[in-house]
Amino acid sequence: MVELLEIDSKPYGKVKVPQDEMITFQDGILGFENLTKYYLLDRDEGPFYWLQSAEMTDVAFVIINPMYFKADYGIELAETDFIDIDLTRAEDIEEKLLHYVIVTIPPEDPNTMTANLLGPIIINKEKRIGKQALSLNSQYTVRHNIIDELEISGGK
Amino acid sequence: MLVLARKPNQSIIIGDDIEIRVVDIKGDQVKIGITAPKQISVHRKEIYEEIQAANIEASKAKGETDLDNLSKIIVKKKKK
Repeated sequence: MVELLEIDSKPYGKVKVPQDEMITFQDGILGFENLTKYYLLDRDEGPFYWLQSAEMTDVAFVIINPMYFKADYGIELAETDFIDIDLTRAEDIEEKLLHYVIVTIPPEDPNTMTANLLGPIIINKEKRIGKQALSLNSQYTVRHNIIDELEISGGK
Repeated sequence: MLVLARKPNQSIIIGDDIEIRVVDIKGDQVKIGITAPKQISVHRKEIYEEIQAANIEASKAKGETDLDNLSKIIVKKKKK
């Protein structure tokens, strides 16, 4: 039986999460290098999820799969980024990669929410290892307006 | 910090397999060539700083943020 762990989450207060679903970010997330343990909340819903730090309640990110709003999104990363999450074979990447981008939501107007396509979050869903990677696509910035992108490319 | 003076086409070796070469100097700009094993990532520092700043801003997302609401905003857009 999977052991449930109670953590303090920013969006929902105390929540129970399966212990084996913890994702380890060895290097943390840029700006939060000392926090290495995260959980994905709302996994069954989508397309938005919370990436919640298990160590600091206040640190939680809203994330989304970029394909959802940008149909022509390409995962263009250095080989080293995949090696760091222990995905080395093409078929492993195909099967075991979870790929998200962090969303910034201006509290006064969620319609202007933006996504960071430059520093995507990649996760090996089998080994539960995650990393903030760096896109090699020079067109990508830390701030793409999601609604604008939807209007341009439609999303999948 | 170790500071070394180099002329164009001169290099610095770090460890056994990283080479940093001054390729060209024009005005206030220096072109630098870097040879490193592919498991070493090389990026401009500004990129890290930009991502760091974006992360810190994104992390301030309010706990009350309603993901369903966000979904509605974009689902509505997608249908158009």
